[in-house]
Amino acid sequence: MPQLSLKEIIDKVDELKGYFSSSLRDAEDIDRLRELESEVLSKKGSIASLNKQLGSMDLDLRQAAGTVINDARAQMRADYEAVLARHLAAAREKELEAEKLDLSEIVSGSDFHAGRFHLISKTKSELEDIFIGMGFAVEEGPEAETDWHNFEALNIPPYHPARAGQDSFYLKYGEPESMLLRTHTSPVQIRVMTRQEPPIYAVMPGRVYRRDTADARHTPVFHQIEGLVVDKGITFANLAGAIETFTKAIFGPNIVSRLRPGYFPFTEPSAEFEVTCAICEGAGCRTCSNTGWIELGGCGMVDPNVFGAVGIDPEVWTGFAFGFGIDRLAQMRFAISDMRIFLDNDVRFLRQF
Amino acid sequence: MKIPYSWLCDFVPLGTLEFEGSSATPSHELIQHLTDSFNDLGLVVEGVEWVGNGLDEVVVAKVLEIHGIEGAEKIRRIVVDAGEAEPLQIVCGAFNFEVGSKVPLAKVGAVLPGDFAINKRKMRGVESFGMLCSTIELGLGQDKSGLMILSDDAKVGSKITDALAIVPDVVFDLAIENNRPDANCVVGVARDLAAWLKLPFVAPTVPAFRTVSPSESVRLTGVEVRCPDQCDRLLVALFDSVNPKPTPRIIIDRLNLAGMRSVSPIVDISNYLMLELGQPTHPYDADELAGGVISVRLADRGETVVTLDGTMRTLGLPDVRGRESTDVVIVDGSDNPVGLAGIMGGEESEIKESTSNLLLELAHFTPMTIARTSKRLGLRSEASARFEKGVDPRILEVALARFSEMLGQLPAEVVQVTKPGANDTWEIDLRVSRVNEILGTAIDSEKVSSLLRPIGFDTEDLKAGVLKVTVPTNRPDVMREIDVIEEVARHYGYRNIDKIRPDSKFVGALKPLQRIRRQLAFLAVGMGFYETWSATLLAPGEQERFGDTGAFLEVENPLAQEESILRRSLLPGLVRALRFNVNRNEDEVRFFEIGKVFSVFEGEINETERLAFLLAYPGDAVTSAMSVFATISDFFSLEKVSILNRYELDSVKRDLLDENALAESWNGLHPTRSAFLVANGCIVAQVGEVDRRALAESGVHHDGRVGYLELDFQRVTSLIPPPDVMTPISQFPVAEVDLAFEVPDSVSARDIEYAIAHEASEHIVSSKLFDVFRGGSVRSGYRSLAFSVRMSALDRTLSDSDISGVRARCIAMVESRFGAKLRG
Repeated sequence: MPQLSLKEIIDKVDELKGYFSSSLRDAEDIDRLRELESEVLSKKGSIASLNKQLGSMDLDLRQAAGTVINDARAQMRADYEAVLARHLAAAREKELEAEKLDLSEIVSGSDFHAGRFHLISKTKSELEDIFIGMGFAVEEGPEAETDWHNFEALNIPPYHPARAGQDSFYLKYGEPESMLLRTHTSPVQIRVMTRQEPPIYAVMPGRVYRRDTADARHTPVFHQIEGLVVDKGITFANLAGAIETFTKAIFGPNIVSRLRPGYFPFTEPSAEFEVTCAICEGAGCRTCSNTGWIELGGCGMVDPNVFGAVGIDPEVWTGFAFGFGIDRLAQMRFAISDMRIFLDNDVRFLRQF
Repeated sequence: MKIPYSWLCDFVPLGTLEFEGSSATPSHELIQHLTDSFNDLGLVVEGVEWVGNGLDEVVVAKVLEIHGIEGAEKIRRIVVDAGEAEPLQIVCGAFNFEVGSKVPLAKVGAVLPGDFAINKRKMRGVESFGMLCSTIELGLGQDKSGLMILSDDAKVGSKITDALAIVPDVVFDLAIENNRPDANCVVGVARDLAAWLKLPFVAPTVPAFRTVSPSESVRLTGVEVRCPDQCDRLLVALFDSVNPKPTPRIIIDRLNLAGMRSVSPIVDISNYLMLELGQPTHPYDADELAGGVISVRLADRGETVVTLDGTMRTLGLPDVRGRESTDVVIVDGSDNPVGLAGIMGGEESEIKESTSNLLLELAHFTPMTIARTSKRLGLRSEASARFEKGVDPRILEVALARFSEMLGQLPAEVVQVTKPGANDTWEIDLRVSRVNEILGTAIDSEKVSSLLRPIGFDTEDLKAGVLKVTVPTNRPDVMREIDVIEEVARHYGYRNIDKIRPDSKFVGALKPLQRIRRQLAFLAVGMGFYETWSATLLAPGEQERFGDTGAFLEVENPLAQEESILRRSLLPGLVRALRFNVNRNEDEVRFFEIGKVFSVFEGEINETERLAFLLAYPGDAVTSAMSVFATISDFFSLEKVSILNRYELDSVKRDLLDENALAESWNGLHPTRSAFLVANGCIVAQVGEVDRRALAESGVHHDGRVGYLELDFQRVTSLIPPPDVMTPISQFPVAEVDLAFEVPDSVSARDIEYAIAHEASEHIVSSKLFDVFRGGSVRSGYRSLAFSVRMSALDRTLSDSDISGVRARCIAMVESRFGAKLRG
């Protein structure tokens, strides 16, 4: 290999720089750029081969020529990177433009559909969660129930006037009027107290049946939630406190509750509980018939006869129970004029909740 | 019960309460105060009706002219004569009258019921000097047709109250609970109210005549009570040659206000006393009674009596539970029934206008007797409603005295028969500490006494914290200490009891099954299903339509036949929901429901919980129903479930099922496009297409194939494996091998998939069916099933020989176990 002078090196480098620079400028696409990079700057490229020719030079010369070559390589590398970046940016821009997608045109629900919980079950879960928060368990029982659990154990013997208010669907099964569709969730109280020792803190939601002709405020099939607390030292004041607690949890802090005397055979003393009308917050409106109050449900201290039926000593344990309609609560909160819609399963209704 | 304010005032001086204007007519403030008091006492006010109040400035007006008003369609200009010097001009929006009609005019300055003040007004430029009124505006009725039209003889200019002879009053409509028999009358309500308001209670008049036993009597020796357990007190009085005066206006008004009509002087007195004192009385025409007497006895089996309503009643029959009858009849001196005791009188001895000699029956029947007869006959009356709940046995003499007073004649003779003890009060020991333990109060024995005495409970302090409480006979509901405590609480005031939140000893939480139920519901909603709540009660034949002929439960006394059968499956209800929506052009639905189903098996009621999915949209939703199950199975890592196509039921596959599995209510799907999902011999679920024929018969007209999946909630949850420690994950590459087998049609694809994944080799991570085809080189009766099998090892990269070893084991297993053959 002939010996090159420093000048010759410099000339060659300049020539290469000129070539590289114009080629960069002329390159039409990224492929051409990469080709150029490979041709000039890679380990097998022109700069590398020029470098190899320095091997036989004097040390001084070699160092000077090396500097020239390295500087040129760095310069060209930088130029290359800049041009490449420009090309990449342009290519990216072109690609983005080509892939443009108007997401407002996408049809919703074509891949996934959101389902819905039924308003009743949503309300039921919400209530369960509130009572769970108060340290209650959730208990369940059968819908086809014995007369004993539904009535007798609850201090409602045959011909008791309370039976007239809970007209029952009796089942063609066993002795006449021995089995029925439960008229309230209270038989679950009996089941819980017969299988579990106190203390008991439980709520019992479920479907119940009354032989009432359907109208805007009644359906023969509806849902209740019932609460039962049995412990030492439980008082009527605790009942009032429990009702205040959960009604506030359901309706909000501006709602207050109040009790007034009522009658249920399975509680004594018994009460009806009312809450400030959630629609007008007590000011008076159509929903509350201008009274400012909404009657929500019944409650009271567990009657000693009920404790007797399940073998709990009323001198040791006291307790309270309360219950109210889940459907009625949902009806009131969402201003549903006719309860019968709950069983229609009209999708235009279901999708609202 | 409807109680006029004026009637209450006979027994409690409400007018002395310090409210503005509380003289003859009560103020709104007073009525509101009384309403609150009733509610606090548990005598719930369901309505307050102002009668004839606010009518001072309302007069009779005669319509003279009727003119339209320009630009107004809904009002007219009326000129009336109101008895004043000049005619008056009124703007009116009603149209139901003509010139010459007499109508009520509220003059300027009138304040109508509901505090509606009448002022001079101008409408559409026309001045109006008052308002012509409807019955609603006057508080006199509910007639919505327009103005109240008065009779032609009403005197123009006279007060409407005079023209209609209205006495202003306020009527409280009270809901009386079953444990308040004392409050089924005006006197009882007055007593409770007086105690609450700390006003004196003015008791009704005391008897002023002598009663003797029948044997001591002259003409009533034949009176007998032959069933003292059912009738423990009987008073019979004779009034000779009665000549009652017409019922006074005030009595007629009060009867009307209480919701009863005036019938005849004697009947009016009887009804009035029942409302006032709670004691039903029954007058007979003594001359129509054989022997001129009555007696009381149990009805004979099959005995009949024609009651006042003209219906023949058959008595003495056992009730639905087979219990012996306790029907009680009133009989005459020849032992012939003349009335159904405590419920309704008989037709024959009914008093008439011509009745001269009157026999009055006042009896005390035990509540259960009347309740049973009333229920069995489906016959209720004002009298039976009171006897059922319990009437005061001591009120009989008072009622007779009042009857005599109102009739203006003393009885000629009165006999009484009283079962020993029937008139007695009873005593209850009340522990003051117990009062506070139950109520959460801190009140002493003196306070307790002060609450009980005004409502007729006598108390004696036995010291040591015990009060001996004597219960009045008008409170048969108060039999125990706890009942007395309720009375203390009522008059202490429920609102005065603190509210103390109870402190649960437990941490609240859903039980495992309840949590899984919610997870399933969330999963269903997440998959796009709407939750439904369909009816439990179905029509006869509705389940059979879907091929379900199993034993069902039936309601003995349905409201309608269409709602008499308990559902054995959620399918009919979901199909109803589908029909409802398809009929409203919503033919794309995905529904799920969680609910109870009922069947009868070997004589036992079987109530189980099901979870069902129904999918309907144009096209075939059946495979989607299957993939819903796959998703659930995947989410909960369910243990092995076999798929048993319904059309394969007769084949060898049948041995997958326990003997009785098919007796359950798993019916209703397409015979050749549905399957049972089976585990441990039990059907866990069914899946497939809802038979289009059954859909059509159900009135569902849907083009698509409707998919359905129904799971037994308990059984599915039992297949959820217990929580396990983590399965180690290999860090080495996964090898994938595809295997295609020729498999007999009778073999379940899922069984093979499961066997490859779980039973062929420990190195197999998963297997997945990815292709099915029939025909071509595949023999008939077979199909090709291709599985993608992934394998790896925890400790190394599987070598080629490892892989071929696993592959070989896999093939051997599938071929030998399933009669399959690897395809080349």
